[in-house]
Amino acid sequence: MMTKFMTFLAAMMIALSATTSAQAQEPLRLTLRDGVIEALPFAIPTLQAEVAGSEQMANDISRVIAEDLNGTGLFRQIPSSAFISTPGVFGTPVAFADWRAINAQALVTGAVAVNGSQITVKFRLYDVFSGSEMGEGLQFVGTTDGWRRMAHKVADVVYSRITGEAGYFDSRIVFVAETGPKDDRAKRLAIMDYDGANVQYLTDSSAIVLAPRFSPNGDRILYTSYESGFPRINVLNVASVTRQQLTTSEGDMAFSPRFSLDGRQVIYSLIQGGNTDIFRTDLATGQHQRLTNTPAIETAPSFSPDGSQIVFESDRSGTQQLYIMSANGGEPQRISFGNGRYGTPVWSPRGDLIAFTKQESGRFHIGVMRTDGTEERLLTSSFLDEGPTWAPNGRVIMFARETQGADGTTALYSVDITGRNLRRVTTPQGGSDPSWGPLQQ
Amino acid sequence: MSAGTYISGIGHTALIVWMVVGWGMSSEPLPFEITEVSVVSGEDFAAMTQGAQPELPPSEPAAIEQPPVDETPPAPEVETPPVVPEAPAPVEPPAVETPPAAPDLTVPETVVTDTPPDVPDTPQIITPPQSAELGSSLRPVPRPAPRVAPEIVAPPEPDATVAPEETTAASDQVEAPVEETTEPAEETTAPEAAADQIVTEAEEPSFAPEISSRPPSRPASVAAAAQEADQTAVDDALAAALAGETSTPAEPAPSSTPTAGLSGGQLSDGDKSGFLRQVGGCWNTGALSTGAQNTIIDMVFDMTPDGRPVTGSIQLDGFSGGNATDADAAFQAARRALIRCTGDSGYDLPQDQYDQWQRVVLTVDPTAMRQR
Repeated sequence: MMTKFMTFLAAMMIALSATTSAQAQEPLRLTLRDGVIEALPFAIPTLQAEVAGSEQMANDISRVIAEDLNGTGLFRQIPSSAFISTPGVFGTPVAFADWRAINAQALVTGAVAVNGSQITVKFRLYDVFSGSEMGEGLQFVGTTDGWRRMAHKVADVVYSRITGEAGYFDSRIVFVAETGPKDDRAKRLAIMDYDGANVQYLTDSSAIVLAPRFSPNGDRILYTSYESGFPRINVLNVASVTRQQLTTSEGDMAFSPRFSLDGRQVIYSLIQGGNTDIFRTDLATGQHQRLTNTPAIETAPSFSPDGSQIVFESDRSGTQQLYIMSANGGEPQRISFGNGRYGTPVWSPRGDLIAFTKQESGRFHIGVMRTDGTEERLLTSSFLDEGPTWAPNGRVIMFARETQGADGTTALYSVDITGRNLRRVTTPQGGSDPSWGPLQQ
Repeated sequence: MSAGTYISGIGHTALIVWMVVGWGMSSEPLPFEITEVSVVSGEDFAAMTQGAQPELPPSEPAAIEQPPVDETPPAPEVETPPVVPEAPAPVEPPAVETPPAAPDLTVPETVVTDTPPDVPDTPQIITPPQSAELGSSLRPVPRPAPRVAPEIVAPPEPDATVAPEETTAASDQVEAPVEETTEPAEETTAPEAAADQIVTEAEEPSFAPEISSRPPSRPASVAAAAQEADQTAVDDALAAALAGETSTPAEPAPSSTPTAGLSGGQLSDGDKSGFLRQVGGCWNTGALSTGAQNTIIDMVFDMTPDGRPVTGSIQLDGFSGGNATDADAAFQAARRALIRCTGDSGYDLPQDQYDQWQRVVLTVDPTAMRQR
């Protein structure tokens, strides 16, 4: 009896399985290719002040987070006047319907607590339409002096979770601050937050300074100084603001320096006997190595992110073009073949693109191209755009723009590598030769 | 000479005499005023009018007296000279090893904790009822009803025209009786309508497709299928021969290849395109990283019979062209679009073909968007 029952049960299961498989329908397969490109609307209600007296700090941090995200051009802040409701105590359920109704696709909530000189910022990020949290909540602890950094860090996390790439808000820029007319312009090294805040000067204006470059970890700065009357390369320690001159032969002129990936070597241009070539110096041993040896002018070297190659500009073909060679020297390969002259190449931190300055038909452009020279795209155009530098995430380029005329001024601008979102970076005075530092630790 | 000639001659003569004599044409002269004038010489006139003329400036202007100018202006009466700010001290070039000014560049330390904040975990998310203000539905307007009558309709009666000849009105006079032929009365019916709905010009349906349908997917190779069928038939014949049976060749089985298009049980291209258009309206790649914009993902999800995606079933099924982070960002954007554009009444999919779209694999390819 039991055997018959088991046999019947097995037969039923087999029959049921067969029926189910027969009814199983192949899924509908579709391909979506057409969408929209627009800034993603987000809402960030003012962070809550968890401790009495934290209100002002909460307001300031909320404002900086919103400015960071808005400034990318990828996000669009929904004004608080459109809010239907405000979030309750941090961590309580979110009324997603209220945020959906105003088409907020991302929501940032948070709280701030100031205890003496210590400040705590915590936040959560929500995907409004799926009604879920994007990642886990985080909190940062620091001093009140560093409240802007904490706001930048929150914005970096929000940016990263939505876009899928690292942020660049908690980073600094070193540049040449310029004042005065063109024929008598005072130049000083200055350092500031990426958004132009907290400007501090590293040198006075007694000597001309040019082309500062951050080290890979941001602890040192290379720059060219005319303090002795000839261009010489200095290494400046950011923390102590002490400097050291890169040793070169007496009478030689060195300029356009840049660190290697590990920060132990410097590549630069050196004028010897009227000829300009590219050299490399080990900072620990002081040993020099010639990388190029041609009668042409070769300058503006820049390492690839993996340190294996160098891109530089040379007029060996009769006009200023871009070349790539091994980091140890060797026969370079020309990569730029368009009309006009190419200069100041900089390798992207991602390694996929090279930014450059292009001069064509009396106009200057900032552009990008693949490392093999293909897919050249010009991002800007003006009387004088030059000196591109990459954001740490390789998404944004900052450069210097000078206006025409005897009283023309210089200023720093940034642009997305898509060519969108061209913005002027606010600085107290004019600025040129920007160098974007890494994300701070 | 005729009498007329005399009369004419006398008349003309009399007229001439009357005109010469002017008899009867004299008149009194018209009255006119007489004013007495006196002759004045030019010198006298000049002497008379000189007194009324304004004095003209001399032909050559007199020298203008310049105000005396002191070459040395008096010093302002200031007893105490103004305070002059001290001249800035010359900036000395910085020493090689010492910076000119050492600003405090120490970066404030920030501690980032990996653990979530000590806040209570978000309780279960209460899904509030759908708001009526959740944006307008992107559902297309209902498909217009067919406007073609199911049967052929007789043409309408021609319009009445005025006869060229006047006909006599009917009179009361009884005429010869006419044999009345009564035809069977036809049942009065309403005029046949061309459609069962009133259609205004504004909503006149357009039968042109709103979007061009995508070409159907290429069916499985016909030649291969035929070859396979032939091989099957041969195998069957061989098997039958070996078994000692004589059988007629098996009829070819109907092709099981689905016909992607507008007919048959498959979802029509219009329905597919409409669904993709609805989702694409919310699919925003503007905030994606460049890596995510190069990542093609496969997203699988279930649908409810009323055209809504089951949120919990939306999953990333695979990706190509980027890393996991890029794929996750691309997936989040696609999922957001799918949920956001559901609208109040779900996606516009034929409910009678629910089994065709109960489960969907959506390949999301943003590479074309990157070029825009």
